[in-house]
Amino acid sequence: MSEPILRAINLTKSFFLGETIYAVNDVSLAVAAGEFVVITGPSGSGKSTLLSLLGGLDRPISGEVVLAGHRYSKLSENGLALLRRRHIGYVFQFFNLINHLTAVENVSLPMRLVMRNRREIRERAEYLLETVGLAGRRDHRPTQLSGGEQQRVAIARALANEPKVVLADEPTGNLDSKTSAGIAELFKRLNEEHGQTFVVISHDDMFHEYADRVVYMRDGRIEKVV
Amino acid sequence: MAVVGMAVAGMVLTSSFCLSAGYPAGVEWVYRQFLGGEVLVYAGRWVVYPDEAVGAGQGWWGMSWLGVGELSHLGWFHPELFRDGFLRPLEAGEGHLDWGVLEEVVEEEALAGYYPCLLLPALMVVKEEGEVERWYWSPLRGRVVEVDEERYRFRELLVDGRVLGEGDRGQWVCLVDARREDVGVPSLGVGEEIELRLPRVGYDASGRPYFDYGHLESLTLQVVGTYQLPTRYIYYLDELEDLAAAQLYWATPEVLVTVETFMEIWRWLGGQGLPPIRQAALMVDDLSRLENLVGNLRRRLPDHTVISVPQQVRIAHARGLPEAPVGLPREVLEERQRRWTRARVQLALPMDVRLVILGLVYLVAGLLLAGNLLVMVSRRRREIAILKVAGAQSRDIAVMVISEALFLALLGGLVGFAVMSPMVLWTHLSNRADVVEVLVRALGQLTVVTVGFTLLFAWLPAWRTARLTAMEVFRNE
Repeated sequence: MSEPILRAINLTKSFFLGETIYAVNDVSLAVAAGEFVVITGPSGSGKSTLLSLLGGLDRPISGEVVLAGHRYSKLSENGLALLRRRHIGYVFQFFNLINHLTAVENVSLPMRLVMRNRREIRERAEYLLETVGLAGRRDHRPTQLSGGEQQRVAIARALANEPKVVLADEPTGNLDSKTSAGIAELFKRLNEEHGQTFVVISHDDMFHEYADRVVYMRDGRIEKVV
Repeated sequence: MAVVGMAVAGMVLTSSFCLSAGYPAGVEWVYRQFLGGEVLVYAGRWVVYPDEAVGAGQGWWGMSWLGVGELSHLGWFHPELFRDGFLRPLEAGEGHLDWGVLEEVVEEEALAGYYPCLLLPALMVVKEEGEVERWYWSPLRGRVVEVDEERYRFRELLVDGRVLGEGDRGQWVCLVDARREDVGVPSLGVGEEIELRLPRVGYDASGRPYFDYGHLESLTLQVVGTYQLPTRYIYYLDELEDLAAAQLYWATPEVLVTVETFMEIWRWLGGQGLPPIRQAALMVDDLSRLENLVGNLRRRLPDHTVISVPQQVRIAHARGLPEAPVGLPREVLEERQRRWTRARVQLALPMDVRLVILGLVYLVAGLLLAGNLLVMVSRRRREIAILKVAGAQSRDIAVMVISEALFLALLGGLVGFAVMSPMVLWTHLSNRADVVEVLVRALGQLTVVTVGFTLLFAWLPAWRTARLTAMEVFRNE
């Protein structure tokens, strides 16, 4: 295994809901650059919480996350934002597209934080839409797109700033099986062609065949790694 | 709502600034100083028209008495502002303004003040060869020393000698126009004496005063100073077809004495109580009130001519007054600016009131803006969360919110400006020449104030939004 690009070291995150619930409990995980990792497990096993900790969206109560040599605990909120901007792409279960923007504008959004040249932004956004197979839908708004198409737009948006790591939280959780298969294949293709690291949370077994490793979680802990 | 609020604020600011900028623009100031106020009230109702037959190159003005309702107010203008020549209130017929009514009007309308024109008919006597006496029309005018000093800046108008001062109250001394010859009256120098003949004052059966030209009294006054009244520049092409400028002056045959001396003469001539007033100049604090005020005065004084100076100037312009203030030499403009700066002291109170109103309007507009921003960002929490996930820093979000607030506010302000500008143009009667400058300055002020208020009121929504975290939003959805 090559040098890990993303490492979780003894991560713990708890919530107080009448009693203390450990959503993530002393989890350690190393993800190598270019690896395709699937995290799976039953509902409430702490997958999404782990992903938000890996993405720097949330802070653990203990433990550490290191991405490309950057220790999250040493970074401020703004520092984490910069890290996300440069190194992380995020894909959500419910796509989280902005309805009043077109597909190409949605994809452009993260680039506007980095690039200033509008033409370059648009060209790259169009290229990314083409990559995810939506060249002909770039001027459509999310409401004019199917679920699968919306998720492809969301994936293109996640790739906008050429992140080292793409984190996907149940990317097919809202899609039918045929569309889900298409998305899974797209992830794998991007992983192979662009060498990007993918950490995908999914209930869906179809991801397993594409994964380099499958991490099983239960009760906030890693149960096994296959 | 934010745009509407800012539009209203923009309208108020634009109108407020533009209307108050009438004098700073230097357009009407000269007329105010020259005519004594923004509103002139003439005894009786008059129309004036030039009589080219009288005077060489100097048009005198004939006057016709017309009844109430026969004239529209647009038919009146101060002839001086149109062509050479001037209205002589003494010849303006039988009407006279009542002191009591004037004071009542001033009190009711909360005017800044009024300045009655105190005139007595007088003839200057010049003895020619063979003891032949030649008489020239040279009315006697009473002046209030303090007003001349503060409002008319008589000191600046002085050509020779000195102005009338405290020590001249009740004394037989006078000022005369250094350009008397321009109106066909012999000139006088400092130290010379002027002999005047004045008609005695009689009273008719109804108790109204009249001047008895059958009985003239002789009066000698000593000239202590000469002055000149610059009015406007004219521009013309000289023999070489080059653009040349010349200062014009308003020449008058009047003999100026202190109001105390005037009253002594009035009583000496047999006058009782206060002399009749044929003309009064009224000052307003705020030009925005001017036309309303004139309308009210016309209703209150149906038998008199009430005209606003800006209205007159506009009419004069419409009739072809060629000398717009544009292009005035820098030193003249600077002098006008200095005069305005001094005059602002008089206008300080109403300006404060206007500032308070303006502040309140902007406060409401700002609160509307802030409220709208809060609603707007609460509706766009998901979008902001997505941006945060994509790597937007708090600063990026704050800048986004403030930029949108600025856009809305400036859009509203511009709408207000656009709505108000034509009205200002219309109301800003005499500002034909400088109106562009006034509007540009108003736009600049509007922009600065709007940006300032927006930053102030958008700060809270921007701060709250910037603090939002993606997890907060996603958990609550």
